Amino acid sequence: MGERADVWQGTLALMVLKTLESMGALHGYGIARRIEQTSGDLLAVNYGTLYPALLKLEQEGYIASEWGTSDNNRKAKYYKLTRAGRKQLEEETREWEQTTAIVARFLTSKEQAS
Amino acid sequence: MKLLRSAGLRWCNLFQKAQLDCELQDELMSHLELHIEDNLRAGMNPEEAPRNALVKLGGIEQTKESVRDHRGAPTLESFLRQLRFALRLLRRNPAFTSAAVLTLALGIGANTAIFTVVYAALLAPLPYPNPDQVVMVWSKINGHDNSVSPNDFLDWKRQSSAFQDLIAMSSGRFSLSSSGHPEVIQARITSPGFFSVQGIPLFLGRDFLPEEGTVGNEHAQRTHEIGLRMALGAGQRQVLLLVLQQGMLLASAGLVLGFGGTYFVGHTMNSILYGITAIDPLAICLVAVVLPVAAFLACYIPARRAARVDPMVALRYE
Repeated sequence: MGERADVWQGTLALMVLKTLESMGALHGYGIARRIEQTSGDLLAVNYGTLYPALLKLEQEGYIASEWGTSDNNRKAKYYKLTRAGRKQLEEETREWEQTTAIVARFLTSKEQAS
Repeated sequence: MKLLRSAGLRWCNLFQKAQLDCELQDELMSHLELHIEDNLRAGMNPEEAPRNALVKLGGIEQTKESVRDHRGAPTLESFLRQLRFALRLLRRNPAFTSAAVLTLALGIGANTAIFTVVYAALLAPLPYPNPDQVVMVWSKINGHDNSVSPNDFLDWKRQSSAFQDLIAMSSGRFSLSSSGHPEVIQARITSPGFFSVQGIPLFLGRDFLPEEGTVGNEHAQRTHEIGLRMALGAGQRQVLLLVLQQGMLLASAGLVLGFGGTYFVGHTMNSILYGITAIDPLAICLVAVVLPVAAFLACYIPARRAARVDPMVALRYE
């Protein structure tokens, strides 16, 4: 559980940043739904795990929060990307692509060898 | 920078815990409401909708707990918890606690006291530059250190080439009275240059000038004051009178004390002398005449010099 949760926390932060970049300001529930939909319901994870990730991102200054009202007039805490967050997103995206490319190359070459 | 900011926020969070908990509660409630609304809109029945939202969230308390784990400096919180526990244990064993505290107090106190003395006496450098070049010079009589006479000092100062500079020093007790509270203070009388020889810079004011070390030059110490008085309209005559008055006051006080002393010492000596008397009327009369004249001259000459000072120059003195 621990190892998977770590990976989840790391990728979750990237997903949150990406979501906020494409959707603009959004509340926690909206972010969770959006991630769920984008992942094609493959990520069956509790929405609650999102909140520690949001807190961490806010502490690091990548996102900022503010209370506002939703479309159907409900009070909700809205998160939005900061400038530092935008830079972090670019960086993490690049790193992620690099990692996946390496892993992919590694896996395919292994396949050919066997 | 990022780390610092994060640490700062965590630190703040430690103190705003209640408020943050409240806000988290609000946020989770709004999350559930939004989710329930969505569920209802998707056609879920009113009983199922809230349950589904709660299950998907993974429980309110669990979520709060995992957020709290990321909040507040956990090390500090656990440290405080440990501290409280330790205090509780100590309180339960008062005998052990007091013995330990007493031992520590005595040990630390004694060590600190001893080290303070050792440090000040042996280790700490003297608080001025080149302390290794500063020496005390004594005269010797019959193999014993002896005080130096003023004239010897002046000769040494003039003739010796071994020293960069020489200053004379003598100590005594003086009474300092300010607003009616006389106080005995330990003080030192030195010749001018005491501070410059040791290389101690002055924070404020100025050092004594060389000419202020000569008797009859008291006016030099007061040049500034005299300049001020003259600038405010005091004439030369008034300044002259001021200096004279002071000098004569000193001289007459000296005379009175001197005569008193002579009388007293003379009487004492008379009782041990045989055939001659220690009180010579002629000598006393001579002294009574010569001394005021000498005092007058000793005051008048420097006073004239002081009075001739240009106020502007005098004011610039400091």
